[in-house]
Amino acid sequence: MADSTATTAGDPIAGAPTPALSSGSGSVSPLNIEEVLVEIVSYLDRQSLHSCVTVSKKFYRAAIRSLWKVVHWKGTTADNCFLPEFIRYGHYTVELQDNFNADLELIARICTNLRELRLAWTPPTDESLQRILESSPKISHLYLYCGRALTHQAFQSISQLAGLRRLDLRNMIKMTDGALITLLRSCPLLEHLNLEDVLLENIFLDDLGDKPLRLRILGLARSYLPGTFVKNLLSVSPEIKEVSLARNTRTILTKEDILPLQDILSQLTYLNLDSCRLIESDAMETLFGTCPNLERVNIGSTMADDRCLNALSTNCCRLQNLNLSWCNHITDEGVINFLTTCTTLKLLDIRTLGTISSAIFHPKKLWACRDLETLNITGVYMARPSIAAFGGGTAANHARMFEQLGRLRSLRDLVLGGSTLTLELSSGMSKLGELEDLESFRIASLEVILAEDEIRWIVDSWPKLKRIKFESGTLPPPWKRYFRHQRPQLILG
Amino acid sequence: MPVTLTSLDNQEFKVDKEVAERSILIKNMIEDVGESDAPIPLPNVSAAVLTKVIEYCEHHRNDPVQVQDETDDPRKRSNDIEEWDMKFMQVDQEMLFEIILAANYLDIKPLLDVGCKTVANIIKGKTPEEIRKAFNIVNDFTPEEEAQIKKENEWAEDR
Repeated sequence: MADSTATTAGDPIAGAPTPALSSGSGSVSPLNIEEVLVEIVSYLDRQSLHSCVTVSKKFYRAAIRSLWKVVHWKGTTADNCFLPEFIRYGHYTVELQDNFNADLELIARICTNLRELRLAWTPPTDESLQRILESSPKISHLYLYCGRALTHQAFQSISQLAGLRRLDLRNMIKMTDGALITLLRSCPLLEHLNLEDVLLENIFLDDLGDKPLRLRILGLARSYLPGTFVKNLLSVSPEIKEVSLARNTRTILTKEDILPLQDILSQLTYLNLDSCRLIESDAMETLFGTCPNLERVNIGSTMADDRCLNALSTNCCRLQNLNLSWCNHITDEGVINFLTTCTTLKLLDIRTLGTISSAIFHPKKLWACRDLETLNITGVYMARPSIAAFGGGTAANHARMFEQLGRLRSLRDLVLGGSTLTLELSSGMSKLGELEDLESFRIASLEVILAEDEIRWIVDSWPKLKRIKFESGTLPPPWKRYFRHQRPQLILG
Repeated sequence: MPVTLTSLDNQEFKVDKEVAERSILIKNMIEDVGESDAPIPLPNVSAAVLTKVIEYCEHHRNDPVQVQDETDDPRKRSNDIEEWDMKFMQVDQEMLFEIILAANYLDIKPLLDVGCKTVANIIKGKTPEEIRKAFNIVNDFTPEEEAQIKKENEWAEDR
């Protein structure tokens, strides 16, 4: 970029560049210097680049190459209109979406410099994928969202990509132990591996060896993988930060499986065990005891119990997001202990079918999570505790709930609901008016129809409210018109 | 050892050699001339702009030299500007352009990058007309040319 000036630098005193040579000050704009403009537009997204090409001739010349580096080819633009420009301007990324009959052979022939390939609902075969990958050996990001037709042979061609950093593969049935091991061993830069809905039922990775991998993010949702797979892979992934085993309902992991992994897992920041029903609570408790850096945790629909919650609140001092929905083995006491200790929480989901009762709103047990921004507490059983001595049943329980929730001043998104809940101003709902930052209010599975006063109150209570949702017929139809009229900016639903 | 820089309007600035050498242009000059007390003339840069540039170089005097990573993701991002740099760049458009020109002339790559990212952030999300208005650019396409370009690049429009 400084070529014109560097040549004169040989004799700085006599031959210092004169103002006429390059920039000068005042009237000249950097947008008139082609190299600078190219540099500027190289930071733009596709939409902005698209605007740039019609601004002026200079902008066109600067932006057109960057624009064509990424080709997003959707089913609706089925002709090959982009090809001439594609060849002229070079390319880095091809993204094909909904092109069921895409001519992948054509892509293989024309694209020889791809860094990124994304095929969404554009199913490749082993052969067509192999040809594309052979012509673009520098691919570093590969996304195959429709892998039904692929077999272990596809993995052999993927294994040839020495610079592969990210592989995202979904819906594949025919996988073998050997193919996966070859991939992991042939792509030393692989950092992000996602195998979702890839059948791993009989894959154990016993022969993976012990040379460390560079994996940082690992996603293995809905893959029916055996616990041994998880153990073998994690034990050679010392840089692992995020792990998802979501919806692997048959994966078994025990405390004994976790213990040897303690050192490796200590850096983990994200863990998703959603619906992993065969992972014992003992194993989870051990896990949370080993991972002090966890920030986001999903243990929805698992066997998690109070001891797990206790391990989370005592060990994980950075915990921000917790999904505890549909955990049937936790109790009011465990939840209270957790809520009164954990101060860092920003998101909490404790949807339940009555496992948890309104005892968690006990007025003397103040929730410590004052920074909570998102809260879903649908389904809390409001008829318990029922003892009149406390000041009288359900109505008092509601009052305590509103009191406790009204203190969470950082809340932006609140979901309330459940068959035992009633939203009435007479039981203190107006306390929720203190949530000044609330942007979204949702009501789920409420059985009682909201009364007029309450609806009016909801419309007017929160100055920043942008979105409101009433599920399962809690809002009579005329009210929808009322909302549109009163708060036209509000998103309903 | 301090180095003296002379601006367009003949003001002299004494700065540490280490700071001045953030500019590859000045670094090359010093290497070519060897030890010398003679001031280095920078006839393309006004005192006001040079003050800003020196402020930047002072703050970044200990930064490691940038190495271009060829294997990296080809797409660059403009939302990773450091907080100090962001504040530093909160100037009017004329000054912003002057800083970019000076960084280009003095060959200070990281400063040029930050400047370009700042301009890119101004462009982002704007329509062609808004971009022209923001930077006072004349549309030099004929209506036919403009229509042709729009047609050729239709695919990039949605999403």
